[in-house]
Amino acid sequence: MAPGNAITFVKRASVLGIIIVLFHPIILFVIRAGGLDLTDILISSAFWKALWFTLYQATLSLLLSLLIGLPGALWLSQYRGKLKPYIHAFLTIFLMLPVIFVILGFISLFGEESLINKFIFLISGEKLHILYSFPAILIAHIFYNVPLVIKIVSRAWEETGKTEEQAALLLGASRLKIFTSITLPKLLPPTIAVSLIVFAFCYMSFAIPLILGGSPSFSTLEVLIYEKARLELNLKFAMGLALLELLVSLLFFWTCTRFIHKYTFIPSHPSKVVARSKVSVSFKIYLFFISLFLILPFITLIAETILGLSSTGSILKTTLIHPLSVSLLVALSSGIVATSLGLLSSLLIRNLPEERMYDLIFFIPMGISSLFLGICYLISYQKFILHGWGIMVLIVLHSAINFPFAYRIIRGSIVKLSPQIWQAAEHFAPKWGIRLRYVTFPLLKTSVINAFLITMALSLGEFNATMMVAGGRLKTIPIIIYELLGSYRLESALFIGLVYTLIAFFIFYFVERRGSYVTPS
Amino acid sequence: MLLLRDIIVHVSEHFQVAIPSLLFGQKGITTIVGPSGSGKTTILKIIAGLRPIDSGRILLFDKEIHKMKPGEREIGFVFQDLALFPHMTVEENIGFGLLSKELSKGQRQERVSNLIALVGLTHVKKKLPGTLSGGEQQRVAIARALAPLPKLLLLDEPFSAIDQPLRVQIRGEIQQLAQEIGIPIILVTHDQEEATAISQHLVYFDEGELIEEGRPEDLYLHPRKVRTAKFFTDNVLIPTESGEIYCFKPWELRIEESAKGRGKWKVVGSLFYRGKYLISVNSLDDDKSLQVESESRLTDGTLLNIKIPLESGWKIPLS
Repeated sequence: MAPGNAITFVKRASVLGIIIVLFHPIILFVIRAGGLDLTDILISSAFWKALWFTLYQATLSLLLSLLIGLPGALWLSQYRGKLKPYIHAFLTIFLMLPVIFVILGFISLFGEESLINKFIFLISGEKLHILYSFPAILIAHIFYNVPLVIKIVSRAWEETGKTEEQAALLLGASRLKIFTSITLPKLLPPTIAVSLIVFAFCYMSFAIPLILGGSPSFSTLEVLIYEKARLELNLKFAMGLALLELLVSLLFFWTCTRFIHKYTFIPSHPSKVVARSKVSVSFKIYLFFISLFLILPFITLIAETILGLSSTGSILKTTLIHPLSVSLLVALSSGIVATSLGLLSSLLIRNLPEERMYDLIFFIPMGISSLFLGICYLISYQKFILHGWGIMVLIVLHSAINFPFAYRIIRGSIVKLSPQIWQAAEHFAPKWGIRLRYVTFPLLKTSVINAFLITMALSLGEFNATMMVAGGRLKTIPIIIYELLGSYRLESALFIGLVYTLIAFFIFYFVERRGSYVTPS
Repeated sequence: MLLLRDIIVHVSEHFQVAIPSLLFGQKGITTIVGPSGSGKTTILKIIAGLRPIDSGRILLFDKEIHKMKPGEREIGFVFQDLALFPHMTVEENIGFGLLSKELSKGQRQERVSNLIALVGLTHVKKKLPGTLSGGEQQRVAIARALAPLPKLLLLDEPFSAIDQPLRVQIRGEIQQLAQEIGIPIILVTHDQEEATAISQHLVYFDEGELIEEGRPEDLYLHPRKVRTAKFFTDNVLIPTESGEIYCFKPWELRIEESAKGRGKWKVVGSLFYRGKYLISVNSLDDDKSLQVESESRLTDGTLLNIKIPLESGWKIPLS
């Protein structure tokens, strides 16, 4: 074997090794699920009810998120003010905000004893009963997804430019013709892309329907899987459900991806859109309400926490120490593992002929629900968990969940640099140690730190998969918050939630503000 | 001093670079010229070791280098997009290639300082590349390539990212540098004007094949291949009935003043170029078209006769 071929072989084998280490429980799950009889599930009304509700709430959440988010995206794509980077930084927080804290924000906003409800009661003598209902699920999904719609679609619309429209105008096309034949096909692909992400999030929603739904009739497939696996201990049924959920989502995404490929339109000369000088009054009202909607849960979370501080002290001392140490240990360890493997994979696949294919492979885990990954780990490592090795399983599980994020952050910074930088390093420094010390690590330092911080923060807030594996003495902070909510100790839950949200906020703000090197032109 | 022998590189399924034999001289600038996608940069990369060869040998001063790693070949390389390390200062960039050499810190610093002075960058030595002008960045890249004392310097499209006035300046600087450092330079460009202006030796490449090489003036005025003649766009090629092809420059063809207003050639366009008018004409008898020089602009549609003095044209040998 030629030396070049041997290096390529070792690189491919190492990447395969990383995939196997992190995702082997999925492979084992598929092998075991192959022999499953799905008849019981297919004839059970619970499955069809959950499937119907899952699709129904996801579709409705998507439509409402688009309806509310798209005008904001249009405004932000044309806004050129000083606040723009801060708005983007604020919107980024929502992309990574742990779901349990969104739930806490909503409980502090709409709870029976919340400040707002007390105020409304004072005025009207009535209280709002939004929590533990279908609207609560929808509002929480909208809260989570509207910032995503605004951020992604506005960035894409900013890049589309107006050159084609101007060309069409000069060729005599009418405004309507220009909109239907040029503008709409340009705006559609990013809108469809973000719709897919929103739908996927709502389709795989677990914590929001579990806690804010509050009724078995509002069970999504994920909630049903959890109930079967952890409450009824019917692992076989849960496995079958997880398999069916995966098949439905794969079928859906395969169809959508084909649609996107068919209708994607790439503008010939991307340019910046012309900034709007004036914003109409109706738009200002819209912006005011959308900002209020996004900020209010944070404000009420802070206010309610401060008001309830006096009754939190004693509970915190007894309940926090163990889960806090578990959370920190798991977050630190999985952050290190996910970032190291993300860095290693990014470096290994560079210059391989199938380099771009790995981007797709490492994207797949982002489309699989973390709860599904959790059940795969639970099935594979049941005995380990029972024998007290749960924390190790949790570390690997969190690493697997967060690995795609670390990979994308580090890979993104490699792709941004000119490929000739690496060639120059190889040309001027034959020793790989020198290349690593003086070029590779300094250039990737920022993205590696960012990847570590983000994966650590994601691990700190991870709820869905942890619920599958955790139990007994093995509890993380989000699990404790869930238990505190279940035992009506709201003040303590809010306090822990606020501290966690602040940590997450500062991490994401720090990451957003950090720059990275760009190759000089 | 640099010899490429029986080189074959499969660039893609339908494209390969093949060089039976090519020898580069001891001194001065050799330019590899050719249209975009002709394989020029591939040649530079195989010499530097940034791209493997499928077969053949590369010898630098009689030493086989094609099996060596890029950093061991003692060749300096200036990349097309310069590839400066964005996180290193100017002096760190220039000194990077010396980290692998067995030199003391003082020796390294001395060599870097000398090179910074040579390329006139003392005032920006502590700055990052992103804060420099295009010309300054170019000089950093050249100094970085020269720092490890290479035996050969390669420059990949060194003028492509620079605007016109700066191009002339950098061209002059490279010529001066070639004299000062005394090592051979091979550069690649697709620009015929730059190729003929800067180099002592020209190698014309097209579709992965070596077409012709020689002095720039020979390739420009007396090309031996039709493909070379066609590459220099101001050549007028006139095939004769016997199958021979004559090559003229526009100023060698003359408009017969007495036949203006009547004749076999029709004016289809006039272009003011470097103090004269280049007149495009089409034949009324067949589909031939030519360019001739004129002292004045001619109106489109004007008929005229053109004197083609075959005796002063360059007859391209039949291959």
